[in-house]
Amino acid sequence: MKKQCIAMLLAGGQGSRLYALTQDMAKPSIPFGGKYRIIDFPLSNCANSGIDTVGVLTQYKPLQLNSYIGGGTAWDLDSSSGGTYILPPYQTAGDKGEWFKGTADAIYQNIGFVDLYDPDYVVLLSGDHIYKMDYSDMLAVHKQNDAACTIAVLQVPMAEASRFGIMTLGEDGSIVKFTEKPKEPDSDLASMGIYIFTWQKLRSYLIDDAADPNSDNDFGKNIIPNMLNAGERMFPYRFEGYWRDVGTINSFWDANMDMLSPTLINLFDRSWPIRANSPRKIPQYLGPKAEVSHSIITEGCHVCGTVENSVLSSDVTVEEGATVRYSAIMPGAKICRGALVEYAIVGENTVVAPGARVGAPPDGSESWSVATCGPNIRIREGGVVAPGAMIYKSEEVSV
Amino acid sequence: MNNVHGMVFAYQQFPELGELGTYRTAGAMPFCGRYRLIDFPLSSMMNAGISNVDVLMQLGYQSLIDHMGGGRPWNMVRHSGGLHLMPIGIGRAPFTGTMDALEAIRYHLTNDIKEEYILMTRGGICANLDFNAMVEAHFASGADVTAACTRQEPLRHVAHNRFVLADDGVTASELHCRQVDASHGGVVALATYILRRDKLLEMLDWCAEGNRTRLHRNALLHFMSEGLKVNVYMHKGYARFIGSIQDYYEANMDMLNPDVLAQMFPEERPVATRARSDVSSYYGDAARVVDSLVADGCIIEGELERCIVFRGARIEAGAKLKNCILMNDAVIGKGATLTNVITDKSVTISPDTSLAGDAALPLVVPKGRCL
Repeated sequence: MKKQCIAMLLAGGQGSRLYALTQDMAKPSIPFGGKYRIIDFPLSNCANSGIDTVGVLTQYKPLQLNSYIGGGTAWDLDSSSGGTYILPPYQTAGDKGEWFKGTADAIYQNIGFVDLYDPDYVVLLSGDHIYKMDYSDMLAVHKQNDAACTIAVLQVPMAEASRFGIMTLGEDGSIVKFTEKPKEPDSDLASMGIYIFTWQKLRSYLIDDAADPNSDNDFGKNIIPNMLNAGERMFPYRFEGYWRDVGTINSFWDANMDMLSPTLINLFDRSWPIRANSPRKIPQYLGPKAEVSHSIITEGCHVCGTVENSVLSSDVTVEEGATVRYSAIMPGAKICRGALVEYAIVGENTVVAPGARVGAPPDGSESWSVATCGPNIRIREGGVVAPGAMIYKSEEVSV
Repeated sequence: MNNVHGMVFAYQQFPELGELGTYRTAGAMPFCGRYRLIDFPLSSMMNAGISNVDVLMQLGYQSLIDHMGGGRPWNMVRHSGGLHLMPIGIGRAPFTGTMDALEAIRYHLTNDIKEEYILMTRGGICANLDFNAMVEAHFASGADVTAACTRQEPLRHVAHNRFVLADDGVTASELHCRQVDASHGGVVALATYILRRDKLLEMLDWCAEGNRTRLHRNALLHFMSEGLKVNVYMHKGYARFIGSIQDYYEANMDMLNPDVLAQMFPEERPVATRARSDVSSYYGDAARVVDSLVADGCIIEGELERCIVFRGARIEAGAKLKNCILMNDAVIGKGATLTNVITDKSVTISPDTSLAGDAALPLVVPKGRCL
C-alpha cells in the first residue's frame, strides 16, 4: 500500500547509563512522568502528526516493550491501512541473520518492511526523548527545501554544545557540517535525533553503507557524513519548545521534575494528547492524613503519607507516616510507613520497607547525585540507599 | 463461557434521579470518578469470558451508546458476536417490564443467539458480581434458574423483589414481589438471572398469550408455582440499586470506605471503562486533599475533603469542597465553597460562590451550567 510517509522508531538500545532501570527492559519502556512510558511521546507525536504507520525496531530486552505497544491501539495507531509493527532482528534463508549492528543497519535490515509501503519519505525517530513535535510541519519544510534529509535541531547554550551532535549551516541555510560532540563547537544547533529522509535517497545510502566493511553502520557516524560528503541537500528544521534526552539518571530525574511545571511542557493540552497504554486502575485515593503538594499522581495510587514535589506513576502506595520528596516513583512501588524517599528514582514494584531511607537532599558536594532503586527489589527495613547509589538487587542495600 | 449469552437491560430511567437522569438512563450514571454504572455488568461479563452481550435500550440512550462504542474496553469487539447495542425506541410504547423488552427482541432471541444459556442483568445496579462463580453454581446445581441476591438491605424502602430461602439456604421457596420492607423476610434480588434460553422463550410465550409483561410478578411467580426450581446465588460484596439522587450520592460516598472500595474493585475482577487518555493529576503547592478519590486529568490547587472527583476537573486555589461529587471537567473558581454538592458534567462555578446542600438532600448543579 502506497504511503506518503511512514515512521521508523529506533527502540533497540540498552540505555546502559540507566542500568539499574534497564536490567530487564529497553529504555523506551521505562515509566516516565506519571502516566507514561518514554515511547509514548514519539508514538503520540506520530499519531497527532497524521502518520499512521510506524515500524518499531527492537533488539535489547524487548518483551515489556512488545507487550506495552501491542497492536498500537492505545495511540490510535491501529488503522487497517497502517499500524504499529514491532521489528526485531530476524533469521534469513540459509540459517543466517544477525543482530542489528548499528542504527543504520537496523533500518537496512528492514528495507523490505519500508518498501511494503513504498513511502516517499521516512521519519526516523528514537525512543529516548521527551517532547511534543508536529512531524507534518517538519515534512512540509523538507518538501519545500526539496531535501534529501532534514534534521530537527535545537538551539543550545554554546557552553553545552560539546555534548551534542552539532550542525554547521552554510549561507543558503543548508547543513554543511555535522560534528558529533565537538570539543570546540562552531555552532549551537544541536541535532535532536529526529530525521526525515527522502526514502529512495536513504535507501541507496543504506545499501552502500551495508557494503562497507569499515562502517559502524550508524546514522550519526556514517550515513549523515556520507550524504554530506556527496553533496546531498540537507537542511535543519528548527524546533523551539521542550525537548529532553533522558539517557542518564540525572537527566531522567530532571525531566520527571519538569513535568511538575506545565509552563515547560503542557501535557493537559487536549489538542496534542500524549497517550499511554494505561492499566485499568481505580481513581487515586488520598487518605484522611494525606499531605500532597506540587506533585503528579496517577490512577491506582493509594496515598496516606506525605508527597511533595514528586511524580507518582500508577498504583503507587505511600503509607501513613511515609514521606516522598523530589522523587519519581514507578508503577506498583510501595513506600512503607516511616520510610523516607528523597531525590530518588524508585523502580516498578519495588518496596521501600518501613523505616528505610532512599536518597538525600543535595549537600553541595561534587559527588552528590540522585539515588536509584531498580524494579522488583526490596529496600529492607531500616536500609539506606545513599545519594548517587544505583541499586538493582535487594542484597545490595546496606543497613 | 462459550455457551452463555449476556443481556443487559439498560432502558430504566428513574424520575428520582432528578436532573442527573434527564439525559441518561440509570446505567449511564457516572460513578466513582471514572466509571458509569453499566461498566459493572459489562466488566462482570468480560471477567467471566462472556463476550456476546446485548444491551437493550429504549429512550435517553445517547450517553450510553457514546460510552460503550464498539465495546473495546470490555474486549467485546468481535468479528461475530461481541457487544450488540440494541436501541429499541421508535414506534414502541415504553417497556412496562422485562418480558415486554424481551418480546421486542423475540426474533433475535429465537434465531440469532446460538448459546443455550442467557445471563441477564440490569444497568443501574452498583455491584461487581462474580458471573463466573454464579454460572458455575448454576451448572452445578441443576436448577432451572439461578438468581443473584444480596443480604445487604437496600438504602431506601422502595419496592424490591425478595426471594425467601428454603432450609437448604440455596433454593428459593417463595418470591415476594415489590416489597417495600423486609416484613416477609427473604433476600433482595439483584435482577440478575441465568437460565436456559429455551426456558426463557417458554416464559415469553406464556407471557405473550396473556399480555403479561413482568418478569417477577408474571413469569417467575407463575412458573415457580408450576415447579420451576430457582436457586439463589448470594453475592457477598457491596450491592446497591441506584434509583434516586440519594442512592447515587450515598453509593459514591461509600467508595471512600477502603473496604467497600475493595469489594467493588477486587483485583481479580477489574472494572473496565472507556479510556480518555488523561494525563496524571497535578496537585498544586497549596492543595490540601484528604479522604478523597480523584481521577486523572485534574488540576487541584484548592482543598478537598471527602470528595469524588471525575476526570479533567480544575479546582482553583482557595476553593474549599467538602462531601462533593464533581463529574467530568468541572471548574471550581478561586475561593468557592461547596458542601454536599453534586456537579454534573462540565459545570463551572465562579470564584467565591458558596453552595451547600444537605447530606440527606445534596444540591445538584445540572450539566453544562455556569454559576
